[in-house]
Amino acid sequence: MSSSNGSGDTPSLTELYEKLRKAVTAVCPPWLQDRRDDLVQAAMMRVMDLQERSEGKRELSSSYLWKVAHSAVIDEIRRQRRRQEVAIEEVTPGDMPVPSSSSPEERARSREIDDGIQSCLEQMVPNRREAVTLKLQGHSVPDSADILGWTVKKTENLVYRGLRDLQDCLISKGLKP
Amino acid sequence: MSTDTSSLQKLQEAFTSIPAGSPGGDCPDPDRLCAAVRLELPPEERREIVRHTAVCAACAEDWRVSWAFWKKEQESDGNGSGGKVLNGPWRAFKKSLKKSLPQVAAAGLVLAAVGVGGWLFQDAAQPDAHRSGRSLAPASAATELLTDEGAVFAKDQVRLAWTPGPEGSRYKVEILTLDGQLLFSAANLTDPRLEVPADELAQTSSTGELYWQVTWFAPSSTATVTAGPRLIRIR
Repeated sequence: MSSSNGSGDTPSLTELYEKLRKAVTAVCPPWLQDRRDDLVQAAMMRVMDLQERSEGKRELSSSYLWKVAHSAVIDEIRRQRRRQEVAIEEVTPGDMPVPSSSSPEERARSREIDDGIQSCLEQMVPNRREAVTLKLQGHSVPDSADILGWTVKKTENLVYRGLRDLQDCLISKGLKP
Repeated sequence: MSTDTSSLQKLQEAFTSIPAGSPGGDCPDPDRLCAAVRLELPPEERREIVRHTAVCAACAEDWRVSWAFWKKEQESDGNGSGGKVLNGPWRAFKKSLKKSLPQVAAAGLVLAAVGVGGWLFQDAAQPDAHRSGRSLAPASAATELLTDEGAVFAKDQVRLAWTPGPEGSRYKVEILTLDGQLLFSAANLTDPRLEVPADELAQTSSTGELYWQVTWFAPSSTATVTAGPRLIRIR
């Protein structure tokens, strides 16, 4: 792989791989931890493929390459998710592993809460739904304001009202997380 | 807020642990999801994706991963480890820009592409505003793309503009598909603007979304600075 700035100061592929591996390790969902090398490989392959195709024709900015890796990681997560689903479908019910940490009642209750949250969000006024969803995803109000294209004040109000709506809705369904 | 911290925490835990199935047909594709997280889509499209994540656990998880990845990207670009691959000419060019344009403070620069190896090792020369796709503040508006993110053009009226580099700079403009295929390239330009010939974009995809980027070539060195890619739409 060549350096396009003529410096000749190009880190090795091993270094690149290591850097990307660290980033992926940090963001990889727990259920995918044992497949994280696959994510890194997928991102590397995509970047290298792009680099190969562009060899001698154009320089690629770092932000562009990050985008490519970023998209490849999400793509690979989706692929792994589909694979897991197929694997689960292929297991007969008697072979299904039963999580030992929760009782069937707890799992049913948890499922009920999951469905309740999604259903309450679905019924919510769109702008409140957007604000609350980001809050539930763990975003700060300023980050949410940036994402949604609103002022911080407006976002804060909508988060407040939306959370209240969500709680009222869950209570009306007899649910409390 | 009426929702106390512990209730909020429980709600967050419940929401983020909803089992994710496979994305369905109405799920945004990875490129679009990543672009939303990076604030490269218009706000209305970002909101549409957020609304979708409210009811799609798979996309909600993809969003969280995507956001975390983007944050890691910013850390990686800003952790100072980039010194390893920043060579002399690049530093000199960056320095000359700082001298000639004191307010720039290199904020509008995106590092010159230094091969695949370089991209994860570069330093904090590109500003948050650029990385996030937002417009740069006027004070740091010296080496930036002037055409708005997501600007819409008729196929025969694509006009791109960027800020000029130091006197004698040359520019190269490239237009790429979202997966990085080069559609159009014009090099050795002396004006910081370009009207793309109509027939060059005949192969634009059905979505009409393209990236464009500009590379500045310094007049007295081999160093280059690339800004972009930035999204445009062709209707």
